[in-house]
Amino acid sequence: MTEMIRDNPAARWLPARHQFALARLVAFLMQRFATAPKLDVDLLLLAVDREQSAVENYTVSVWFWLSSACFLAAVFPLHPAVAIAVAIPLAAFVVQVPLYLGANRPVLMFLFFCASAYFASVAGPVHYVAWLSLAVFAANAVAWIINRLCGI
Amino acid sequence: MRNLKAIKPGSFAVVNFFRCYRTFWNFAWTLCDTGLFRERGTVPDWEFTGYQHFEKMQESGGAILLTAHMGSYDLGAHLFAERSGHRIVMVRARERDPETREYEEKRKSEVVEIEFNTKASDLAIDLLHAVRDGSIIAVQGDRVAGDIADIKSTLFGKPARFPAGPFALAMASQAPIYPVFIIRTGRRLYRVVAYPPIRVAASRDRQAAFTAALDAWRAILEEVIAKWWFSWFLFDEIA
Repeated sequence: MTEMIRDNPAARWLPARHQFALARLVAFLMQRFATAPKLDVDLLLLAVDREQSAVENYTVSVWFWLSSACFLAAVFPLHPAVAIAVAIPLAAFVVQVPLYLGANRPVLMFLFFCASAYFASVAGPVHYVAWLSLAVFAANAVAWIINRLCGI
Repeated sequence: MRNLKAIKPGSFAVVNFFRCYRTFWNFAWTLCDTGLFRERGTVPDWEFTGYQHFEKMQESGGAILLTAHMGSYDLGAHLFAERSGHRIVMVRARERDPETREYEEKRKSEVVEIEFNTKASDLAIDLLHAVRDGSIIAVQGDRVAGDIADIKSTLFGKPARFPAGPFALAMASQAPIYPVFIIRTGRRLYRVVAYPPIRVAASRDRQAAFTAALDAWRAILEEVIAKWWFSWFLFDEIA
């Protein structure tokens, strides 16, 4: 069963409550340097679970969805504005297809990395989006090394 | 949307449409959290307000926990079982959908005893014994489902029926009624809100005693729903 931390609002920034290496590193820095929030309820129980951070999960989800929408828009033979309008809702469904085919989260991320690598070499504005995604992957890899070295 | 119109008088239909969306979205997340708990054992973060009342109920036992269709009873039951040595008996209506009922039967909670309010007369005696033995009886008091005893009153100015059972049980056993609500306030974040106990006086004038207790319960219920309308999962019209 999940471990719980009692009456410690600062534990919201516990690295163990984050999943990706970059988020863990940011959480570690926040816990170290940010002012601890005050306890504003009678009792607080925080679960130590790596999928617990709302900020991290929503940030990654939005990044993944919007980048995928840009990649989709780039392959549509439509006017860019129309392609983006179509791709944004469509991407929300398309990104789930690998999951229904049996892929897990690492496989999904690997596919996204491959897509980013491909579109980074394509001419047009989409390559900026692809390079941004590759930069995020690189930053996460560097954060993973730092976390390992520092025992985070 | 009609319920939201009653909760928020003067609100616009288009705004209430989006409020409905938020309520269903919140409900979907609650089901996800329940699923995650059942399949993986992951629990959310918990915040408590009115913890002293909650703690008192957990320590003393022999109480009635009156709640509403909010949050997840699976998660709540787990929390109560972790923090209380008393047996918890939950009284609720059976699932209407056969498949959902089968799923519930297969994965029913191990820490909470569930009784269905379909056999009211037999159940009343069992619950009276249970509460006298120190058990905590959890009942949802914001809706009457099926053909069970009710008390007529109003909710947000609209005629509403409330279950009579919790008040009758409280009068017979002289157990306190603790209003406790589990509200989903964010991603994997739930708030337990507990209020001071309501007592039902042992009186010959049963109707007056019930009305006084019901008025106290209704005032709390309206306060909670007005504040956390997005976490009130009553999808039938108030009636």
